Amino acid sequence: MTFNNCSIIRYNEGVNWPIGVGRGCIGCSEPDFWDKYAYERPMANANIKAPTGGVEKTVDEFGLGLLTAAGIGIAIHAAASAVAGKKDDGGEA
Amino acid sequence: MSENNATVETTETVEAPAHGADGNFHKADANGNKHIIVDPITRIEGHLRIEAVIDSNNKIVDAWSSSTMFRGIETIVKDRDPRDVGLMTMRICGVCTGTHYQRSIEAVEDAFDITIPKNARLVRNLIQGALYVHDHLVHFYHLHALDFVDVVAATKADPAATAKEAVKWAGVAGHKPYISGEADFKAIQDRIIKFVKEGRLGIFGNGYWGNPNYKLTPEQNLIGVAHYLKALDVQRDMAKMQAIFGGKNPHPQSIVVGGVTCVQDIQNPARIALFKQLLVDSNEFIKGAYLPDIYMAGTMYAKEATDGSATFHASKHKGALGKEVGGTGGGILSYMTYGDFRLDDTGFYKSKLFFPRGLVLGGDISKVVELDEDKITEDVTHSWYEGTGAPEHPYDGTTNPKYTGLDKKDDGYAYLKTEEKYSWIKSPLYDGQKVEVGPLARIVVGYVGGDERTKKYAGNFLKRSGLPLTVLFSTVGRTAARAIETEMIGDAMVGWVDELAKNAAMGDLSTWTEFDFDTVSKDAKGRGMAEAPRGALGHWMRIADGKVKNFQAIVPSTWNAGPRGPNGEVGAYEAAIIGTVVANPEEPLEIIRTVHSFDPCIACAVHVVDTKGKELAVYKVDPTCAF
Repeated sequence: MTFNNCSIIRYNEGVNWPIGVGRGCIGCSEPDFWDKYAYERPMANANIKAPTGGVEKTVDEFGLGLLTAAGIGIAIHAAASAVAGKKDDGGEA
Repeated sequence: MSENNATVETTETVEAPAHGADGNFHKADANGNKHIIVDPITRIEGHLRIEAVIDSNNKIVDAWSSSTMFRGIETIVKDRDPRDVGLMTMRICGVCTGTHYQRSIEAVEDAFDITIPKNARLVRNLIQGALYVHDHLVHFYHLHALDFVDVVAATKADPAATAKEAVKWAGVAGHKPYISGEADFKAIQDRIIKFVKEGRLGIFGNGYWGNPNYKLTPEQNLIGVAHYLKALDVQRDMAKMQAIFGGKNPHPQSIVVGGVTCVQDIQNPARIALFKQLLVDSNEFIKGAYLPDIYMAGTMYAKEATDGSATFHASKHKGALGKEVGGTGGGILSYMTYGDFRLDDTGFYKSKLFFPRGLVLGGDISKVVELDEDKITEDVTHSWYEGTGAPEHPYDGTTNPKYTGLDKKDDGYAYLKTEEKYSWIKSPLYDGQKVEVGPLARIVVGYVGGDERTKKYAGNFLKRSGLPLTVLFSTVGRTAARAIETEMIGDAMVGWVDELAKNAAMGDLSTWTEFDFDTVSKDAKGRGMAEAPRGALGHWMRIADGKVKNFQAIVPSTWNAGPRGPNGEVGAYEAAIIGTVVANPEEPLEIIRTVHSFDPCIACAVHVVDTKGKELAVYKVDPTCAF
């Protein structure tokens, strides 16, 4: 649900980005992200209202604009990474 | 760089009305003492104001340090999930980037009794190590060097002689010079000459160029400027090192309660190789430019650095010693470090440390005093907070703002109420005493305590420079200590990254220690106490029912920039300024040099006012260029 280009240009001349280190996106360009995204818990439990309904739906169900879909994809991926990181020590991008 | 964009206005001289009945000597002084205000101090992070009283011999007889900005992160993190706090406290500052993050996470790990795996410890050491070398380099060249290096004087240098001079100082440091070609120096000099001729100094505009307290030769100044410019490239690569394992710089994101998340980067030999290449390159600059420049400045400024008459202890305040020790900018001579960089996996506060923990008090370099965490308190007598009456331990600390403002305007300028509250920074104390923190504290504590590595690196510095140990207790010494530890860390990181690569190659990919959050977060308290580049940094946290109940941070600049203590104990910045002789009160170069030597992290007009309320000069600054 973020609209930044960090997945493309990344940080520090392209060396890495938060997803790259397996942490997951905290949605730092979004309004109220501290309360909505910067959470140490599965995204499904987060109080997020996406423009199209909610993150518990799959990307396919949205079908409402490529940009939004891409953003959601990244967020879900991030959440999956964070969860995976906890269970098997294997945070991964 | 904001200071450099300043324009000077001469103002009308107006005689102030008579004062004196209220006992605040600085407001009216029959002896002709000048009261000067430097606000803001630029080329720092944050908002800092210094007021000083200068006597008729241009000696500073009293000084006050005030932070003019309220932070309040402590209030923001209350009632949040302790696992999220690191991400928020990291935003206390973007300079010690990732250090607050790690301290908060360590406080939670301490509360939950979690020991992180070896890989996580090494990755954290590398992330913080990369920060130290980056931060120290940027501080020395881009925030501090122009207090020693006169940019305009570099236009008079002979490039051939400059090349020889560069070889000479690199030789003192035992290395080959990073920049050695006559043509290289000539090209840089031509750029500066062009700027000066056109009257467009850009980032070098409006320094105190030509001040008699600039002591370098034109050739040495040219070396300084050349390295200043090159360091802009080098620091970018140093920041990349942090991003490799941290995700980005500033504000890395790979550290979580229990360990780190960057398994992919540990597993990938290409990532390790990239880190190592950047590290080797940055070490070349540290050894071939940074250290030689410190030897050069240390030698050329040795007279100030060893002038015992220009110290706090020689002033009317008298220090704990009551005698002349160290030189200009020495200050309180009490040092504290929490220790940092764990070297084994026995757990927090049990491991052997790269920087040993402890204190050296009152200039007594015969012993290290063991740190007792219970003796750390914060006092708000002179800070804009409502206190409980007595100094508070950070576990039970409060942050309730109570702004009482500045004194009424005196000929257009308001002074600090130095007898009452005058800063947003609290006054931390150790066992009721003021202490200094930072690179100098780490080097002094390590050296006095017999730490082999510190003794070797600091010993090398003293031997090669031919300067006495007491030179360290000064503005120059504080700056030298920072360079000494930059080399120490740069060298150590080579070993750490090899250790990490080896451990991963052997199949250990563990980066996270599991814990049951609901069980451990019922009722717990923990502290993250270690070092940031600027000194001792502690986060203290109480947790109840999965939420943060109380959070307090005491940051390095709180220790150093804090105002007077409850019984008038003088702060580290304040003490370091007292005793200094300024060449020209209208150009507070010496004050800025000493304050910068602490690397303040607390930024836009500099006012210089005399005791009769006469404004000598007003410097207006473009806030968009504030650092």
